[in-house]
Amino acid sequence: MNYTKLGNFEAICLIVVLFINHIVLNLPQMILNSSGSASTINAIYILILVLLFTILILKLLKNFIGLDIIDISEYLGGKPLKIIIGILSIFYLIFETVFLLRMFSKNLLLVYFQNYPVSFIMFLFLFIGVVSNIIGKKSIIKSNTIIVPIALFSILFTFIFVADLLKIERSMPIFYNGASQIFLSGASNIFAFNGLFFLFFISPLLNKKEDTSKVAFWSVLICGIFLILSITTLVFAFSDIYTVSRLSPMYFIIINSRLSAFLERPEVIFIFIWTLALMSFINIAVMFVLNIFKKLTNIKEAKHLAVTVCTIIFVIAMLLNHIFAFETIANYFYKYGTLILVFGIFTLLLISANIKKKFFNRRSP
Amino acid sequence: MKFTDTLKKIFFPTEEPTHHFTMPSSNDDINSSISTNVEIENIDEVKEIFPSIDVNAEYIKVKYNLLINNDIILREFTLNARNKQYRAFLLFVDGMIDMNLVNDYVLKPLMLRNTANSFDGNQNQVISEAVTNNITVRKVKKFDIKEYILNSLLPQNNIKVKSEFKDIFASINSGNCALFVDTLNIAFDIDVKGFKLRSVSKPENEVVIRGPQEAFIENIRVNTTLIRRIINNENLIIENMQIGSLSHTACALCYMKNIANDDLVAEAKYRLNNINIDYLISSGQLEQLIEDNSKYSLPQVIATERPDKAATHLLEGRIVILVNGSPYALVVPATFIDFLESPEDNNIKFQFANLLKIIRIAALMITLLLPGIYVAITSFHQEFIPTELLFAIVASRATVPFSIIFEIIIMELSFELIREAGLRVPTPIGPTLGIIGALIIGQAAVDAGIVSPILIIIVAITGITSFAIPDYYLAFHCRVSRFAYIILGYLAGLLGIAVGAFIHLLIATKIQSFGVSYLDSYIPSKGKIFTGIFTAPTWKREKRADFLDTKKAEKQEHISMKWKYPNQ
Amino acid sequence: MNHKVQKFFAILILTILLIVSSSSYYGIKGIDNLAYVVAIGLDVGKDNKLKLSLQISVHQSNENGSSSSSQSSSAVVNSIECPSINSGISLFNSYLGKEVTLSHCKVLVISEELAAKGISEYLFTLTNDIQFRTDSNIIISKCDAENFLKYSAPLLDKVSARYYDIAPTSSEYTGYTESITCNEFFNAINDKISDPVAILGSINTPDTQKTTNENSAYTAGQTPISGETSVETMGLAVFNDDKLVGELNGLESICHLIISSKLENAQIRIPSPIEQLNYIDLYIELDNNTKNSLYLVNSSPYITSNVKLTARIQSLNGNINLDDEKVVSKIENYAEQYLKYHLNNYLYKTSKEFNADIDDFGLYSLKYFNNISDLEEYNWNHHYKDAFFNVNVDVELRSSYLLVNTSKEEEE
Repeated sequence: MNYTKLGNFEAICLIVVLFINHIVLNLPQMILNSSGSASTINAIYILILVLLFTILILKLLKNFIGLDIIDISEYLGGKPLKIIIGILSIFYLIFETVFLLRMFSKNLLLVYFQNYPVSFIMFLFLFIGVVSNIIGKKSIIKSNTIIVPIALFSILFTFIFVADLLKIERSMPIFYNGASQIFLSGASNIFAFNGLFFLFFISPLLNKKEDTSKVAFWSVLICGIFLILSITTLVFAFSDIYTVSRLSPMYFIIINSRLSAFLERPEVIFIFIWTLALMSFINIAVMFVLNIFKKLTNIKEAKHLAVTVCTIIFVIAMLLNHIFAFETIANYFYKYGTLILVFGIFTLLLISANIKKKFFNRRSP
Repeated sequence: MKFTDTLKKIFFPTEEPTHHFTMPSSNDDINSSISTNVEIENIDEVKEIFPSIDVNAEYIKVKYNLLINNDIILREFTLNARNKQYRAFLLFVDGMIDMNLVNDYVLKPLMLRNTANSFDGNQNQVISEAVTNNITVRKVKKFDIKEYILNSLLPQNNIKVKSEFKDIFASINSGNCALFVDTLNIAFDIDVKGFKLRSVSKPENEVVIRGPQEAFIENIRVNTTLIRRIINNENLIIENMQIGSLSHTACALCYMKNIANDDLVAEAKYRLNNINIDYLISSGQLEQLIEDNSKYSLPQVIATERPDKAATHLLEGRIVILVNGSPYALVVPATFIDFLESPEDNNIKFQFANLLKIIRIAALMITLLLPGIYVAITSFHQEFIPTELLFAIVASRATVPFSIIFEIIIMELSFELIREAGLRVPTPIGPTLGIIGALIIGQAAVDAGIVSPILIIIVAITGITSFAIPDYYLAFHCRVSRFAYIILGYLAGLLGIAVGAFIHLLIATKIQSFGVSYLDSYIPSKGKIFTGIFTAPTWKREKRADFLDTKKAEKQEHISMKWKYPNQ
Repeated sequence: MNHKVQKFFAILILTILLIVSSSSYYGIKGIDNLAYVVAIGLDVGKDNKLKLSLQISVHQSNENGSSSSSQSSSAVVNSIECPSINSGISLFNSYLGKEVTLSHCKVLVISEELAAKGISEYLFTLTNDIQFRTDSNIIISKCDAENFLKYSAPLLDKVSARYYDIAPTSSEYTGYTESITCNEFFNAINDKISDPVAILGSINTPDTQKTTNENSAYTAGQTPISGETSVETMGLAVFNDDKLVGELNGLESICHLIISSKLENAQIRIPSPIEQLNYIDLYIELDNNTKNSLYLVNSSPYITSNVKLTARIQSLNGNINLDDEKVVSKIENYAEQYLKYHLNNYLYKTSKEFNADIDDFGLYSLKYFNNISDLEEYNWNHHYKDAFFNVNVDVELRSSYLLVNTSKEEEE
């Protein structure tokens, strides 16, 4: 297996890019709808939860340095488990891509390409997905490393330009619909950190295997900070943000920001950058799908299957036609899919693999 | 001429015999071709020089086609040595040697009788004498004509003894002369080069204000001296090699032995030694032969005509390749930002240098994207244009009959046309043509209502910014890619531009130049990001570029201005 | 290799064909085929329908035959009776021959009559429209919107689009109105704790003009201007939820800006404490943001505002010594009294008369509720009319301009 090795920074960017796409599309709105004016508190709370969770995962992964979740599942349950987990992961990645792609294309269509069919826009995105995977993994990872900081900076930039609208009084009432809502059922909002999915796959790719913890912490921290910032900005600047759901909260921030004093309709630039971010994510998702597929089937070179994977994504995305229902499905999948797979199955797998290892080690000598 | 003849010619024209020439193809009858080499069998297999001077002369005459090849001169004469006469001849190319040098310091000492060659030397033949048991054993120095000529008769600094025709021919072709002497199966290769060279002049394409004003010329030896004069260090290695099975073009591989990475040097040597071509004329040709990804049009090798720039790169740990006959040196490996660097950057203060660099990056973006973005915005994102500008554009387009995409492609093409025509016409009219093309045609087109003035502005800005890119190939790349962006912008607006930009980015990240990632100054593998884009102040340039992996990572002390902080 | 190249080109050609065919089929809106709306006017039409007026810019390039050709833009105003905005735009599309685009619309003008009925429907429709710029200004016109648009030819500018860009910003140096965007208006309608305001505009004709002694106590259309009939924006239109309930004149607008800390600078005219003068003109700026605080006393709000202003004297006569501290503090006192009086008047007007919390006091009440149901139970909109106000004004007289001391006695 000829993996391209990842530097730490590249690995962090890899985890963060999924988060960026969600924060642009639907993440803040989802949290705002559930937590209202208490979203900031909720965001800080889930950041702490996720940090704890990351510590747990890293502790569990320590016994399996250099292995990804597929290898671990093989260790635990042999080939059948390996294939089940592999297929689940592929499904998760493909659906994640489908929903992001479909949502983004729909938004793009509404904003700029009213006369175009959505298939055309999605085709362009997937075209990049194919081209990039044929060009090579190194290009995908490096281009992602360039795009992610720019995208993060663009998001930060939007926050700066609404700074004069911020009013701390808007964070009241402090517990939007009761403390229990925020801290108990609000805990499920950790799905926001679904970039951790890649953490389970990244370990064998890393240049320095012992740096996994560093990568995990930095990426969680970056995501957390941006989540808190975006939610704080939205809550503090717009008092109706959790009563009226909008297309994309980040888009809403920009068209309300003071940037429009300098440029007419500055959102074009941001959409341009976020388009690049989505393209980058699609590349990475297809790359990981191919990697997992390669692991499951022992084929020699998987990169030409990129066409197949992209076609599958395209077809599934075209099947979801009714937009209102689709949005709901996407949000459900994002929330519960992440909770079940990343925070549920993968974690359970890790725990049981650790138990097996301990048990096995005790018996073997 | 009779009148009837004229009439005849008019009404019954006969075909006048004209000259027809057709190339004989390999399928033609072999017998019709003239065979030449009949005297010496297997002429191509001869390697060693013959002892007989007649055979040598005959061989050379055949090999060089002396009967029809007029600039090769074979001068036969009688050589005096120790009062003996030998038959000998000199072989050289007329015009490539220094005539005075040959007359005064080769022919004179060999032909004329003087103390050196008339001395028969019998007195000194005995080197040592030992008497044992009344038998006198005399060690007698045997007279060796070869040694004698080499040591005593030729007052020249650079003489080599060659025994193979191949070597002799190579040196004659490069301007040396060869001395053949009867009974010797070797020849003397005497360096008497003296051909006309272009003098070292000002650089024409990489102009700087504060900096050295000399440029490489066509001769490789002069070029190497130009570099060596600047570097002034014994660790500079200049290795000669020849490329091209016919032309044997001399190339030089220069590097700093104590700085450049060994693997890099080995790789460069490997590539240069494994080029199977017939001839190599210019460094541009070599550049395409040695670069890693020759499919992509992004430049991957720096070409410079400035010795100071080449020397700077050498001291950084890069490799410089010189090609005889080409006034451009190649520098490898190269990263993207190197092509936006002007030689001036190191001479001026870092504030100015960085400002200029930002301007050049902006120019690159503009020349690459502006027409595409214009098409994208006017077709899809009208709201992005400030209202007043939009109204001005719409008003200016009121009489224009073409769609924007058609208009812009026509204008871009005609701009390229004007530029190309301006290059090709003789120098005195070149600028005039540019002015005519740009001003008069543009103005006339606007007046006639065929194109809108806004478009002329856009095309002009695009053209001007493309001149701000220091590297010629990079500017070329932008000119070509621009058309792709125009079409993408037309197809899908800014999304199309994004697609193009992403593919561009993917290609740029894919490319390697001698093992160095192309975008290494933005995303080095060792963690730091966005280093090396901007020029550091002179006192802070402490490290050599990370990606070169040099033997000496630091190029100056942490405190370079020792006078200022003497205690640190 | 050859095979590979062939394959590559085959795929490339197929892709290009696919893209080109699909995109050209769907057509591109070139900039030439669009009609650019500069302003939208909404009126009550016949039979309770809507009267939609659009101001559309017209472009022509004047060719003089010589090398110089100049471009000019003018605008036409057209109205249509229609059931809704979007159907009106469709009707416009059909008779204009060009597609109407709202993407360069600068103002939304709504007539008083329509605003009194409630305008949230139109605002929601427009905010939902992707073309419509939510940062365009919203003007409530005292006359009908169509006429407002027709008379909105700028006095000093040529092009009406730029006029709409610049005109609302005059509030930055007069304070007589506020540059309200549709966005701000929309947000204020939606949240439960504040009420929106809009720019008040009208046509100024000699019939509508009036004169008062009190400076700047005009609303739109009342300013005594001699000259051609033109439109004027002055004062603010106050809404309760989405219904127009009243208007504020220029001075009250200044008060509104002071209380909500949005004042850039303004000019007021106070009665003079010094005998030789009747009035003094002061140029005021906010020194700090106004500090508002709110207590719930028996569930009715008690609101305190601490206003801190700096002022410069603009009008002088020959006998004022500004070096004299007594004079300065006298003027300061007068100014404080004057402003306090007007601020109090303004605040009670908003609460008692309009019951519209346009200064976002509701924000300060939020901290008394722990969760959203408590807040909804309390219902701020019902309680604002019971509010008590306490305004503290602190004016600091900084300086005059070039003249400092004009009293002659001092020199002797």
